[in-house]
Parts: sequence; structure tokens; C-alpha cells
Amino acid sequence: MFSRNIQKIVPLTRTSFTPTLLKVTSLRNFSCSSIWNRAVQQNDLAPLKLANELYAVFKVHERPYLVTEGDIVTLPFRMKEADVGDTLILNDVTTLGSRNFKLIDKPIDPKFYSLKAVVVEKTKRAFQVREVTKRRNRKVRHATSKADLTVIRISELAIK
Amino acid sequence: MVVKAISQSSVARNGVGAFVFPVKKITLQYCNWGGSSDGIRKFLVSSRLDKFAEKYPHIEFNILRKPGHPILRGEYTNGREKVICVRNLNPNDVENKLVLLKNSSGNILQKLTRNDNVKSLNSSVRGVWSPLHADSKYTI
Amino acid sequence: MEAMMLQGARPSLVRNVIANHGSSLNIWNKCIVRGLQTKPVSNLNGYKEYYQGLKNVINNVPEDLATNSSLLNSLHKRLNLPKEFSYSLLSRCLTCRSSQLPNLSQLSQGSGYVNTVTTSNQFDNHGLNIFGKNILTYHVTHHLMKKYPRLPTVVLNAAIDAYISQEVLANVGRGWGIEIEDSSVLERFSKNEPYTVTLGKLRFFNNTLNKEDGILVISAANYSESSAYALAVRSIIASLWASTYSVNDALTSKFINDHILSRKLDITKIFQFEQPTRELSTLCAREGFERPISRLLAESGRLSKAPIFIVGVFSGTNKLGEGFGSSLKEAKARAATDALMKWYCYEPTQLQSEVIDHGTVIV
Repeated sequence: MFSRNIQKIVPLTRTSFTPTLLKVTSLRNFSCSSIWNRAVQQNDLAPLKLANELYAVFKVHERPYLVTEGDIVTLPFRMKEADVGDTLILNDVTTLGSRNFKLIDKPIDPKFYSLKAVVVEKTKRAFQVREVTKRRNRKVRHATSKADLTVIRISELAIK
Repeated sequence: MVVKAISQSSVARNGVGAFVFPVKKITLQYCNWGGSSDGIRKFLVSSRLDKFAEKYPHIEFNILRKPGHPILRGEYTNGREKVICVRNLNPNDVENKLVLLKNSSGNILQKLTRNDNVKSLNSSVRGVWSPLHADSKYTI
Repeated sequence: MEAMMLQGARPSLVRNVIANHGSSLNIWNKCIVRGLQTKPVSNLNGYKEYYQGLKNVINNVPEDLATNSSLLNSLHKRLNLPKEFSYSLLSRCLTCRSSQLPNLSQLSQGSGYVNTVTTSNQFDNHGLNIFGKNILTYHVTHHLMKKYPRLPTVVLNAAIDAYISQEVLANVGRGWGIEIEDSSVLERFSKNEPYTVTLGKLRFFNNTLNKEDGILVISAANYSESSAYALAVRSIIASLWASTYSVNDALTSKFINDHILSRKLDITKIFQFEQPTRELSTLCAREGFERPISRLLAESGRLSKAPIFIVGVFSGTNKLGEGFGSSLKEAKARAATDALMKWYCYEPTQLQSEVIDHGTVIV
């Protein structure tokens, strides 16, 4: 199946206090009917609620991760507070979107969505030895590394 | 002539819906004579293993006496196993290794490239960019 | 089906260790495999007693013994089963009818003889399996028909299979960490293994195993490992329903949702269209839409060796689908496939009234 695509971002409503719902339109996309435009102007989340596929961008330690439901996310640190099997509620979400619409804020108010993840594994990167050299020096330092990782799986992504 | 079907299989996503703990069995192997098993013997005699097992009832713990260096062996639901030699380790370190086995999913440790943080089975929600659909200023 | 397969060296040290403690177990094992011809057997009565005891325990699992089984306990906890689900019932789910020996003429062939104990028909998972299969089929069909009301019957059946076919359920069982019983009764006797270990493992007559010096002979698909796993998974679901329906009847459907329907399936990959353009025009005629017309939307490099065409299929002013291709014909077929896929894989929303489907398009 060929995918039609994102082309132009037209902000339809923007106030400083409410999160902004943007419509991502494509000039050739005929499937967008006037119902959607009306829904957006009222600034409710109906277009996102009606979408069967959603994505979200959440941040952990200021790093963004773009996910859909069921994705595996590798976080580059050991999460001491959580044990394997624990459910995390991710509440620093900057974008929630479907194919043609997205909601952007910094961060989005958690009352609009629920984004949950399960800690699948707390593991490490493969052991690596890096050769550190200096020019015109015969000494080679072998720097080893085996960094910690936390692997989580997105178990729920839904608009409330 | 109607539509035909190609047989497919669904793919497991542990964690979506139910989460089944990946480690199913941990075997603690020690030697009753060797000095390298000193730490693990102390660990086994203390009540630490009982507490650990109580906390994680989904893991089966086996204790095995066998001559040689002491070993911790974890068996996982993906069919793999992880073996850690705990010779000359003190009881604290033995417990840390036990925690390591418990936290693992049994997969091999892998090198990761930069920004390879998200693995997905789903197709892209927003679709893939295409020059033929883009505005004229973006066309090639 | 006859096939030969090399079996890799088994890494299970535990068993090897215990085997070394038992006196000359490997020699014994070989004697048994070859059909009890030679007799270096010293403790035959003890073995007979062990065998009989094992048989009695499996054929009517005592709850106190099952509760003591660490394998059953950990499996129970791993699946987060409710306390109404008894350990003896869980053990019964792991006894397959195939663990009954078919007939005496096959005894000399395989190690199936020594691996298993004859089981009673009253205490295996045969009935539970049939019930579990019905529950699973009902739930999965219900879920799919609700989610995709316009799926053609062939595709619906294939989609149900993608969730609950034998191979998929076997993978579910492996993911649950169910262990199979692959050591012979003699081996278990010689290391004086408690019955609770056997109770926690999947017991079936495996005629695919014919162990001889690390070589496996696969002789029939009938009593395979994967069929045994699938039997166990279905029986566990049936037992869950049987033990909880009076307390909480939604528990089983939640369990199926969590473990089976949470798996990933791309429904569009099941479809195979032979003449998509004809099918689409029949569909439009049936539904009273305007005749579908394909239009070229964009193209690039028509005269080059790698041309690209983008074709859209329209019914009046409505765009039904879009496709790409390196020829106009290919792009047109893709566009029609896309339109059909959008029709068949339509997912109604909760806010919407019920969808009435007119069935598959027949060209």
C-alpha cells in the first residue's frame, strides 16, 4: 500500500493556555472531509479519538522517543526505582498524533491521554573494548565499557 | 473468483496485555569442599535466598551440590540460559548476580547503534514521505 | 514423514551431574532403548515400584503433592492464575492423552516407551482441550468480527488461525515457560527424582523422539511437541473458565485478551487478490457507488529504466484508493487493491451505529 503523506502543517487554533491541535494536510489527500475540519475548530480531541492508530512522543531525561503501542524502547540507563514487570506511567508527552492530526504541548496535560509501559528487562550493552591511541605515541589504552540499559514495552497508548 | 487468504502467524508481544516473567528457573550450584564456594555457602546458609524466592514466586530455585567452582544458572522462557561463575565472590556479590539473572530476559547482549532506541512491529502511523506527493518546492 | 536431525549437545549440566552420581546410567539407558534385551538390572523391583507410584500419582493427582511441586507453583504464579485454579488441575492440564502408548508393536521403535507412563482417559487433558478450543475460537472470532465487520470468510478463518493455530499456541506455551518431560522414567528413578517434578512437566508420548547417540528421528507429526504444547494451553484456558466462571466469569476472556489477542497481527497481509480491478467494480456496482475510474496522479521518469507512476482510483469525486508501480498496469492494480483493503479492513468506531456487511464480493 502506498502512503500518502505529510506535507504542510497548518495550525488551526492556537492559544497560549490550551494544547494545540494541528492538522497535517496533504494537498492530494481527498479523504479528509469537512467533518474533520469542524471537529478541529472546536478544539476537542475527536479526530484523535476516532483514529485507529496513534503515536506519541514522550521524553525521558530530555530525550524524545516516538512510539506506538507495543513498541520496545531501550532507555540508556538503569532504572533503579522500577523492577522487571512494573508498569510505568509516562507523563512527559510532547506530541500525540494520528495520521493527519497531532496534539502538541510541552508537556501535554496527562488528563488527555494514557501512556503506559512495562519494564521488560534491565540489561546491559555488549561488552566493548575501545582502543584509545595518541599520535606519535606507542601506548595503546584499552577502554572497556558495558553500559546499563532498561528495556520497556509500551503497553497502552490511548486518548482519554 | 473471490479474495484468497495467505496464512499468517501472530507475533508475541510480552507486556502488552499480560507480562510473563522471562526467567523460569535459577540453579545455584556450589561445592561443599572448595574455598571458592565460601561466599555462596554463606549465602545459602543465610535466609537471603528464602527472602529472594518469596519475593519472586514465579521463579523456580534449585540448589545443586557439585564439585568445582560455584555457578548460577538462569533458564528463560525463550529457551536460552545464562550461566555466571561466582567463584570467590562474597554473599553480597552472589546476590547481585542473582538479581542480574532475574532482571534479564535471556536475550544475548547486543551492540546498539546510536538512536536505535525504538523497535516497532507496527507500520508507520504518519506514513512514509514521498517526493511525488510533496509540494513543488520539495520535489526532486 | 521421515527426516533425520542432529541433536546438539544438551547444555543441561544439572541432569548430567545427577546422571554421574547414579551408577552407570548411560549404559542402563541404552539397554532399555534397545528393548530390555540385556539385563544389568540390579534394582528391578525398586524401579517397578517407582513406575507404579508415578502412574498412580499422574492418574489421580493428589492436591497436597501438586501444591508442593515447585514447577507447578512457579507456573501458576507466572501466569498469575487465581487461587481457585488448583495445582492438581494445572497438573492435569499437562497430561496429554498421547502419553498413552498406541500399541505394543511400536514399543521396540522409540524411547517414547521409556519416557512416558500410561495414563487414564479420565485424568488427561483431552476433554479440557476440546472445551478450551471452543472457548478460544468463540472469543477470537467475536473479537475479530467486532473489530473488522467486513472481513471475508476465508480471511476471517485465516485470521483466527493466526491467533490460535497449533504452532501459535505452542509458542504461547513455550513463552509461558512450560517444560517438557524428556527424560526416561528409568533416568528419573536412578536419580530418585520426586514425583512432584514429573507433575510439573508436560507429559506426552513423543514419537518424534527416537534417541540414538544424539540423533533424532522425526517419524510422524501426530504426537509432536508443538501439538502437546497447544493441548496444554487450550486445557489451561478451559480449566481457568471451569474454576472461575461462578466467581468471575469475565476472567477467562480477560486472560484470552491478555495472552492471545494481545499478539500482533497485520490483517492486510492475509489478503490475496487475483483480479482487484474487477472485484472493485463489482463492489461499487453492488453498493451503488459510481463506477471506479483510475486516474494518473503523478509520474516520474516514464522513459527511463526506473519509471514510477502513482494512480488513484475514484468513484465520482471520492477517492477510494491509491497505488504506485513501475508500470501503469501495476499501479492501477495496486490502487484497486488499496481500495478493496480499505473496504474489507474497515474498523468501525464506538460512536458509530452498527455496520451491516453484505458479504464478500464475488466476481
